[in-house]
Amino acid sequence: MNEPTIVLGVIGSDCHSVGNKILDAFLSEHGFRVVNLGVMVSQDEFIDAAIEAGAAAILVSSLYGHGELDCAGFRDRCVERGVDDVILYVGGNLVVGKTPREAIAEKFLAMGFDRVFMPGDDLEEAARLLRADIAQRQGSPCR
Amino acid sequence: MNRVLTLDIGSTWTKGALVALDGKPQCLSHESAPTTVDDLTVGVAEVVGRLFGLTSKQTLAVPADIPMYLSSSAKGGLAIAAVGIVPDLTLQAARLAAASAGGKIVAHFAYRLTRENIETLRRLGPDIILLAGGTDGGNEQYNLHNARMLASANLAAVVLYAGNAALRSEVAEILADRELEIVDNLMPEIGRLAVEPARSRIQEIFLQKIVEGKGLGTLAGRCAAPPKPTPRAVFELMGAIAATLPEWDDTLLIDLGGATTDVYSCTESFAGRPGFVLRGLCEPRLKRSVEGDLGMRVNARWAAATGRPYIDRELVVRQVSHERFEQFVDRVSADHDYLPQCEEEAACDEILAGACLYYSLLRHAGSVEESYTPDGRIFVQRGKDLRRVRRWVGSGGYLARRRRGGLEHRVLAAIRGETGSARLVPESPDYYADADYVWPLLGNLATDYPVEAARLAVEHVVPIECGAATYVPEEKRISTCQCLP
Repeated sequence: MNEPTIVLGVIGSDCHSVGNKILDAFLSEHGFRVVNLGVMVSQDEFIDAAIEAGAAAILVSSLYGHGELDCAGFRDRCVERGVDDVILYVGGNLVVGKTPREAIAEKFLAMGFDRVFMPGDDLEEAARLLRADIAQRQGSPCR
Repeated sequence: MNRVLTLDIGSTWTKGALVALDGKPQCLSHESAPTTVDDLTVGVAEVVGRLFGLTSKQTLAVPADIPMYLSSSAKGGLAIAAVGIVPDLTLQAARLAAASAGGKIVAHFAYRLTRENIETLRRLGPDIILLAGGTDGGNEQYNLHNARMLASANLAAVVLYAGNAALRSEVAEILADRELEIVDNLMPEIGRLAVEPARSRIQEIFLQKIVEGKGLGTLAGRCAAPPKPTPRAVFELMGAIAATLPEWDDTLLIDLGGATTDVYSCTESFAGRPGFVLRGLCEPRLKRSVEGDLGMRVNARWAAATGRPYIDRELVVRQVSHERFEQFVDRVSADHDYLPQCEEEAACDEILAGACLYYSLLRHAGSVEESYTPDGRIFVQRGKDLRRVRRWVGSGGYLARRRRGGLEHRVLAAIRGETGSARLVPESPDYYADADYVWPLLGNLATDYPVEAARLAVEHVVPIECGAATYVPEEKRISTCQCLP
């Protein structure tokens, strides 16, 4: 089993499922074992699944503008649950309004996310970064 | 005439029935005698002697042409400890598997087993430790740690490994000196339950390694089918009823015992109505849960502690003092055969029974939460939806003994009063009682004679009129209950 396992889902009360399905298909094709939790996923559900599946990374989507509220404390919760080193990515329409890209990234990086993605970012590049980050962490932190 | 003998050895009573299967199936007779713990055969011989009108009841004399079926919950039943990683995922899957196999879940542990957990296991002495955790190819560290803890613990229990399949050989190596069985993962992917392989292996282990120790060895040889743990027999009966009598699908059974409260439900877990989203495990259609801290006698003290909020409210309503209630709990904890001697004690008994029903049902049923999204209002369901349950059957000492209905209705009203519609409990079921306690006996026949066993089971329950003092025949019942506002 050389395919790294990743957990994917849309956080909070967000029901946007189209992008989630596209990401699932894309990442599966690119050699990741995807555990897709679908829409309306809580922080604990992401972490539960990451523990049971021995995942290397959690990819959090948020499309409806409340991402900041839903994602607050995510890394702290991982630490509390004993998966301190799991790779955390977040992406989507993370805030409402026209906040500059850098300001959004800064906010989420400060929350403990490793990378932040926004509309228009290249998926091929994201997959490449994910693979590199996982390799660097040497194995799956949740295992 | 095609007759069969069915026996159930309970922890205090051994029961038996002679059943005719030709034409219209019927229970010809049933008898009971105290269970003889030192040698279970003695109590069984007594019951068999009475059923066949034998003068000598010393030896077991079942006519050769009558097949014998047997279940037992004597000597602690089938005691299982469940180990998983995440409480809502593999631990819940392990508990579902153990309960559906008819086990009594004596302990359950999540994440890493600690030394204290091992001491608890040593003290409780389960027959089987069900070790689950991780999806296939998933988590390794918890399982390996837990296997090592069990390897160094030197417990008598059989370890059944039903976790991450990728670790099988490593687990086998770690537990090489222990009695170990390995079976398919009971949660191979996140959220997908596959409890059947673990469930059926538990039954095999029960037969091969445990039956003898429970004093059933000699009896097992005389049986037409392998003996079962009593709750497994009831579980199979619930399945047979739903499969052969569609109008009796969506049934709930609560067996209120002296030591545990068992809840069985057979209904669709998640209706998938528009606007409903399911989170967590999709629970099985046929589900059993068993609560070791909710019992009417042996565990009355525990039930009084667990049920405190409900009990406090009811004591006020019924105008019974706390001191009186505590006195009653002390009395029944010391004397397990004790029956209420006055109105006030009867009220205490009913409040205790209500507490067991209230909390066992809350734990068995799922919940729903309203949530607002940019797309409108939606409902997030967790656990099992029992709202479509149409029939609620009560079994066990208290529910069979009472002469007044309405307790179940009070309990449902109390749950609604406390939680609104957040708990997915039955909406407006009809109530019945398994007054003669024949369901376990019929459960023994459910595999070989599902149609007959199911038919007899529903014929033997008596409808309970809510709030009425007597049982009323089915055709005279009114469909909705008006005894409570």
